[in-house]
Amino acid sequence: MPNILICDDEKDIVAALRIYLGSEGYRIFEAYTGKGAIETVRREDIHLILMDIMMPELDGIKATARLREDYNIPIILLTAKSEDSDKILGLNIGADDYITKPFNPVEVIARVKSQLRRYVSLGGMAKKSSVFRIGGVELDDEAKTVRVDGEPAALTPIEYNILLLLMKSPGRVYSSAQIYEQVWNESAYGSENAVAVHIRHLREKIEINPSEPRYLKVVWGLGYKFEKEG
Amino acid sequence: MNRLRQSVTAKTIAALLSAVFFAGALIGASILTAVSGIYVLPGESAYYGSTWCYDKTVEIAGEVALWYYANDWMDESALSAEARERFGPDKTNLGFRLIVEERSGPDTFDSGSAATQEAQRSETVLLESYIPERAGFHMRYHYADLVVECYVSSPLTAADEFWEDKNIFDRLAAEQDMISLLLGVCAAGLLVTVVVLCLSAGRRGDSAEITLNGLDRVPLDFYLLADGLFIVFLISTIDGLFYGTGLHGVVAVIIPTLCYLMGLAALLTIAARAKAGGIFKNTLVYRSWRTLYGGIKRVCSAVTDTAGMIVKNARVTFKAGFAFIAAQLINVCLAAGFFTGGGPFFFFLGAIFNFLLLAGLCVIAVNLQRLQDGAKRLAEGELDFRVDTARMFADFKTHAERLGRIGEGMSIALEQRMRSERLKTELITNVSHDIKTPLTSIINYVDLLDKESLTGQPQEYVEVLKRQSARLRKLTEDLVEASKASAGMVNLSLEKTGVCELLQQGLGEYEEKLAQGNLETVITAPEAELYVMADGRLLWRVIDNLLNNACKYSLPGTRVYFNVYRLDDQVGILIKNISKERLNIDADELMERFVRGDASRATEGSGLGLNIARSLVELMKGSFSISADGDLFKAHIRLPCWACSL
Repeated sequence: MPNILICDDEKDIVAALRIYLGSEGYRIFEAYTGKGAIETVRREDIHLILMDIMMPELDGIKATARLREDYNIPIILLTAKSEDSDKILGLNIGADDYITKPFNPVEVIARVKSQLRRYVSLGGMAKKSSVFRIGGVELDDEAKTVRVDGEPAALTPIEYNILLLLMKSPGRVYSSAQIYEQVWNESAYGSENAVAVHIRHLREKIEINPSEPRYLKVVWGLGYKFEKEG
Repeated sequence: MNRLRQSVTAKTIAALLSAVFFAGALIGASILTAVSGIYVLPGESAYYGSTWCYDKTVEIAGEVALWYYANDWMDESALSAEARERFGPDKTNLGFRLIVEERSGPDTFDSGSAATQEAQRSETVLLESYIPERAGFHMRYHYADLVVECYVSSPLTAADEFWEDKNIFDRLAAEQDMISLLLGVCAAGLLVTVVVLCLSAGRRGDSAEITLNGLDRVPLDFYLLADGLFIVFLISTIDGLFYGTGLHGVVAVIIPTLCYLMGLAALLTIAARAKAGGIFKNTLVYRSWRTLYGGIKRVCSAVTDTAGMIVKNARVTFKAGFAFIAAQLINVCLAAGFFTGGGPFFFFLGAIFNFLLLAGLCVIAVNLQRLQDGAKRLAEGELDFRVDTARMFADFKTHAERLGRIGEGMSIALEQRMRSERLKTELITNVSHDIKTPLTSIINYVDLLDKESLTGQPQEYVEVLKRQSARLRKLTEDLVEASKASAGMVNLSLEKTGVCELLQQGLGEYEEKLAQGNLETVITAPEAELYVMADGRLLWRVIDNLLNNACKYSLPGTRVYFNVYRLDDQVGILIKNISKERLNIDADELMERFVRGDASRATEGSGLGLNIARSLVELMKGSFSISADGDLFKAHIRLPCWACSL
């Protein structure tokens, strides 16, 4: 079973996470400072780190930067800071994901699982021309299947077609009317609402936290897009 | 009594009574004057000495003269016969002789004695009706160049107008005492009504105050003048009416009575004005005097104030005065030089001097203009604007520098304010970070407790803990967001944003929540998409908050209306929903932080939603307002349209 290091100066939070993740069968290691975390990683075989940002001795950002010099294990930052600038800094320094406090335990487990799957089981798979893979989402247009972090997602044909359209040109913004016309093959006339509803359902199926999507993003007032990788 | 005095009807009746009394007194007095006969001849009836007889004689004599003029084409004997026939003693009591006066000798205007003029006059009798044996009244009536010598016979022989008159006269003369009594009563009544009317003038209804009616507000002098002119007009009509209508008696009574009423009205308005005070203030003369006086006073005070100002600021005025006098002196000297034979040299010198003077004045004007410009920009908020002090006189320069210092001070104060606002936001942010850490533990352990498959009371307690901790979490998040939005510490990227697209997207997000509340949505928008200049993410936050409110507070089974329209260079979004609860607070109050529609705070929510929405819309240079009309709640967003702000 994968080994997970939980690092937070707040012992109650560490204990709570230990209960949640332990119940999923992971082996848990604990640290209360950035320094402690680095020492644990050097000593033990750690597969994933959950790291708080504000900690004594060495904070989470610096610890992440130092760990990245030697290791490529997934690091998820846990923090009370919710500003966009903090998130960007954390991700730039080498973190793989970001969870803001107060967090939903279910979400933490989902994100941990997602990161572990990508780290452990998904390597560099041979890429077929009919396969679109962006981040953890993989769409095989021949088999008409969609996998998220290796797990198959059950999509309806319309959801599948919408996802295919968006994944074909990641980063491009499609308006509701455009999506409607391309997927339904009819002129959009007051039916844009249907698109919005389908997108929401789609998001619920491929995103860990649908209200903070990583892949399928809403560009408010313009349309929808599939986030480019990187 | 008072009420009677103050009733309009009573007053009108009193005025009419007064007029009747006046007319009665007038009639009585004239009858008495006539009857008491001033010109009574010995042994004759008083009638012959009365004005009645006189007036009648004059009237008939006039008729005779007119008749003569109409018939003088006839020959003398025929005329004479006709006259005897027409004016015989059995037909009329007036005997007459028609005489023409002729003046012998040339007309001279030299001042001869009256006696000689008399002597030069001769008379020719043209016609004679008859001369009664005994004449009670005799007169010579001049009508143009005719003289009618009249005799009224005594006793009367014919039943003519004289006879009728005399009958009435004699009857009235017998009733002299009664008429005197009537006159007395009328005079007393007149006096009483006038006094009563004067006393009640200006009083109306139950009010103890003096009320002036419309007429009482007309300037007094104007009123009296108009009144007087009307009376004069009435009197001037008497003659015409008297002889024109033949209704002598009626005219002789009605016209004076009308005059009396006009006079009474004047008297009453004077009385009312006197009671109200300031009888002369409401006159044209007084008003014009006041205006004139006020004007003079203003001019005088302006002059004295200016003089006072000049004296008080002696230091500056001395400078200006000195410069002025010096310039004048130099000009005078130069002129003197020019005229005493200095010629072109002094003229040239004078030209240069005055040119320099003009240049100096222009520089002063420019300096002033610069200072004004600087102050204006400062007032408009351009705090780092500095006045260009090049080529400025010393005094203006110091002023310009001081203006600059004001600007500096103001920008420092402004910066401090901004900084304190930022500090406040930072404080709130930091505190909320510190709250979030323990909150995380609370939420997690409550969740763990929840999983412990508790039953009964403990399970209920955990439910409460779960709900309240979720609320606390939402509250801290909203608090940070609200303080950031109101301090403007939000990353703003204004871009072309489609309003209808955004609404569709939003409704897609809220589809389930709306269905839960059994709410139907109705969008009215123009066919072509309307684009605004906004940050889509922030605009979504606004719509998100409003949709959230609509779901939370709408009456289930009603409709939520979205109205998108364009007005000039703005795009408006109007959201209307029917409130579930009675909105018992003011619409503006709802936008204050922590205020919520249900005073009981039964539902979840921080009460910050509308406040955040307003701050965000204002950040995007739009305006946000809400209003409640009964249960209809309206939120109104206006944003600059995309094409217009380019």
